[in-house]
Amino acid sequence: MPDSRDAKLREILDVLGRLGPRAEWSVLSRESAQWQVFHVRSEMEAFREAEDLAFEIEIHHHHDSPSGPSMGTARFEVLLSDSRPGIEAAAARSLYAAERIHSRPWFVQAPGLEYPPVEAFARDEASAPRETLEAAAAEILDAAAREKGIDPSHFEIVFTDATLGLVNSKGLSLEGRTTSAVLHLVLVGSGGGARFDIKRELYRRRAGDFGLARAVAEASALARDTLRAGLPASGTFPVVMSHSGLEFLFSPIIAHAGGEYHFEKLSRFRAGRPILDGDAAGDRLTLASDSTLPMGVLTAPFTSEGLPAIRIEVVRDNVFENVVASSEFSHALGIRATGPFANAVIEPGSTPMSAMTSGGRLLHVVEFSAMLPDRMTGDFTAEVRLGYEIDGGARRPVKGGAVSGNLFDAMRSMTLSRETDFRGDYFGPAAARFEDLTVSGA
Amino acid sequence: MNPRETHSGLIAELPAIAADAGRRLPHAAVSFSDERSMQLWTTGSRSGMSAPAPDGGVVLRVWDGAGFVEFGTNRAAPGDVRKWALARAGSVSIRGDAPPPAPRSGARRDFDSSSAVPHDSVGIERKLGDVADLQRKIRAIDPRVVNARVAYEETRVFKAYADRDRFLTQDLSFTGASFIVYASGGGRTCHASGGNKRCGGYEVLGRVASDEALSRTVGYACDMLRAGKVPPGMHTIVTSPNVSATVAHEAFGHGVEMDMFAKGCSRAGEFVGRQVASPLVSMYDSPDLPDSAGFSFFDDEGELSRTTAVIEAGILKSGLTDAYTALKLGSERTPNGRRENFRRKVYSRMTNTYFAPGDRTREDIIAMVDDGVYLCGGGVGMEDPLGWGMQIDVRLGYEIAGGRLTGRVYSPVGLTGYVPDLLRSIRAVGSDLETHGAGKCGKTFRKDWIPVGMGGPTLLMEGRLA
Repeated sequence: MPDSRDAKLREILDVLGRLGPRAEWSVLSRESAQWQVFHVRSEMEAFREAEDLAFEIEIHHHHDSPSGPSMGTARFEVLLSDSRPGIEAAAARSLYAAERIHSRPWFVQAPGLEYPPVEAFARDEASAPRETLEAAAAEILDAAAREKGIDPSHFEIVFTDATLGLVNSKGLSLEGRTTSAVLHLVLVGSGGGARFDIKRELYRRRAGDFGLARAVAEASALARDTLRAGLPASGTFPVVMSHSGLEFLFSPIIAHAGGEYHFEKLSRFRAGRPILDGDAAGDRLTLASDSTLPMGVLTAPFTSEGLPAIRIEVVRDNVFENVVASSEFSHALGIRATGPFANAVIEPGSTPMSAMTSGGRLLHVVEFSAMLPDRMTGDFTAEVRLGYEIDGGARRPVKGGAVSGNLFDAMRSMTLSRETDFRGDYFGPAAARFEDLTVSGA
Repeated sequence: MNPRETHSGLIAELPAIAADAGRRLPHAAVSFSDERSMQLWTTGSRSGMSAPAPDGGVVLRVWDGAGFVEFGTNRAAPGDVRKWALARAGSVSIRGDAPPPAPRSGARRDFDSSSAVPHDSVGIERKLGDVADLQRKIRAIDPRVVNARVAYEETRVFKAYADRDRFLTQDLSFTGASFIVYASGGGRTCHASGGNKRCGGYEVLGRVASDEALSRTVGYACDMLRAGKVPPGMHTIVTSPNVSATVAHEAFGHGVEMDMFAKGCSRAGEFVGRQVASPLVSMYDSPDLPDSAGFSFFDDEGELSRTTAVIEAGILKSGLTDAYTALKLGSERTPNGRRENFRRKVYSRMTNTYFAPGDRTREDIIAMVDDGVYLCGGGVGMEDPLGWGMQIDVRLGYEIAGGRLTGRVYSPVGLTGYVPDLLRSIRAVGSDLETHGAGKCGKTFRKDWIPVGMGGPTLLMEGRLA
């Protein structure tokens, strides 16, 4: 419905154009069509279609305050159902608030930047979204039918075709189209009177990247192993993490690399300095924020501020290189604006996974309940949903108990796998090994 | 803005749209929502105003003889909703002959939550000033506080629902505050967070951001600076109301959302009528709990709010249902059919879930512990309804020895274990029931976020810490 979008946008721009010379503004329009299928086993529980159009408006007001040149920012949203008087009232209220907020000034993005093309749109799937969902559902059911003792309990697949537009008071005007596909799948393994579920949550730009046959086979194998798993032993052991959790484990690095932590003087990183205290053995981290990664979930032609897609190296060989910052923080810190942290791309190591999971006693965790490290301190504790205690040639499945440690300490003895994995917004080693983590089990 | 007036034309038309859309289909319902939020925040050096969760749209739901087919939009102009709905209903093919949800008693009601001080009656300037004052108060409590972010949020939610039996509307206001406190000392920087949200107007701010709540959060952040690691293993634990609430919600509540029974993904389905907790334990889900963060007069399927007894005296009494689940399982309908917004489907969801209070004071309970850990400072968790495992990340633990807190601190503390073992081990229940609901709850994965409340009193139990 581009006509109604354009008409509403013109109405919004007309209102914003009357805010006066000290105001800057931007309008981000998000228009999408979504198809959703919900299955309980082979039965389709529900099918949904949703169409969405919303305008996010940001008003900046430049003024002087007791601390010098200042700027206030206020945001509001407009829906198609909002009337002209309603938009005018929201804009007036936001301007009034912005006039009374005294933050450091920065400016909206001017035109003239180069916007490299990125791959974030699955044209073939967007042309037949319902068929895409039906084919994916059939593939899941086919793959599950091949697995002994596995019940495809339920799954949901959502496909979205979205158009993002940005217009601002400096004359910038951008538009880009993306697709996304999301799968939530729960498989239940049963045997010997017990049942256990394995969940898979996959975010991709296209359903074809789910790798459904492999995902179902892998999850089924894990579900079966869980049925015969016991508590892990307690103690301090080498711990290998793969399959799930790794993409979240590095979130403290991303937080400390961000403009907000640097501006608020909360970051432990300094440019050109090592990110870890003391000596580090093992593999060194090289991490990039990459909004150009082909079909990455956080790949986009431009940011909500109108910054181009970019790959920026954040950490190189454990040394901090670049702050990832929005325009607000880049102005305050005197650095280049990059936009928010995008897809995490980590250089793999040289050790094959088979070597990482052999040798002396260790715990190989393939499924955590939730890996949620404290972004400030790097402390983490995560329940083991499935792992394997490995001691020489013996391999025993375990579940329950927890692995705890501190990311910044653990990285001093980190080994990264040679094998890589793509997980939507993460492309990097498929596994990592840490030598001294605490396991609380039996 | 009064949404009931702003959208009066569309609202009045909903019953007729539902009737027309359902002429050749066994069942049709139309719902409309308009949710607007405004947030003011400051870190001292930076401030802003934002609209974090604006939402609104129409959902047409029809029964096709096998399940529900839904269409959601916010792209239809108010005058075009009827045309849009009839076109979508006309596109639906009948898939089977299963009967739709049974008719309910008719009702035509308009509900409004009360606000002593409506949000619109307070100017932006005063709100900005109050937020800045809260931030300054936090900074002044302890010199080790190096940064604090304070946010105020007001939300107005309007919902209307119409089907062949019911035509309901509700207009709800919520007020919340959240604060993150950063403290530095001894080469470390730690943070603790606090806050709450309640149904009501601006008058609620003083309750959700009380001086006691600010001081407690600062105390947690500063105590974390000297915290060590808890000895891993089984411990006698005393949970603060805040942590008890997370146990109620994450460890047990998700497992009694009965769509998970239908999917074969919850152990609780096998335990209805059986002992799942200590006889001291009762647990309820109440959408109409006064002032609560998960408050509503009816759910997103037009089911009127009432309390569901989930556990009474340790016996699992009932789960929580949405219309489809109740139909599939032949179970009683409870007012728990909730959706995130018009973009998403309805599931069986909690509203305000809490352990009922007992008769002990917190001091009594701590005095009962010879060797244990007092868990507090809030936590986040992850449910596991089928395995009945649990993971709750608690910010702080305080050592208890000889019935007293020793002053030794642990952080963070992971609480894991087998849920029935944990609930059956409860030996004492406090009288100090508290409810809170600053955040939102996701369904199974990181999705379908809805506001909920959770609560509990101080509890004494055995748990595995790491």
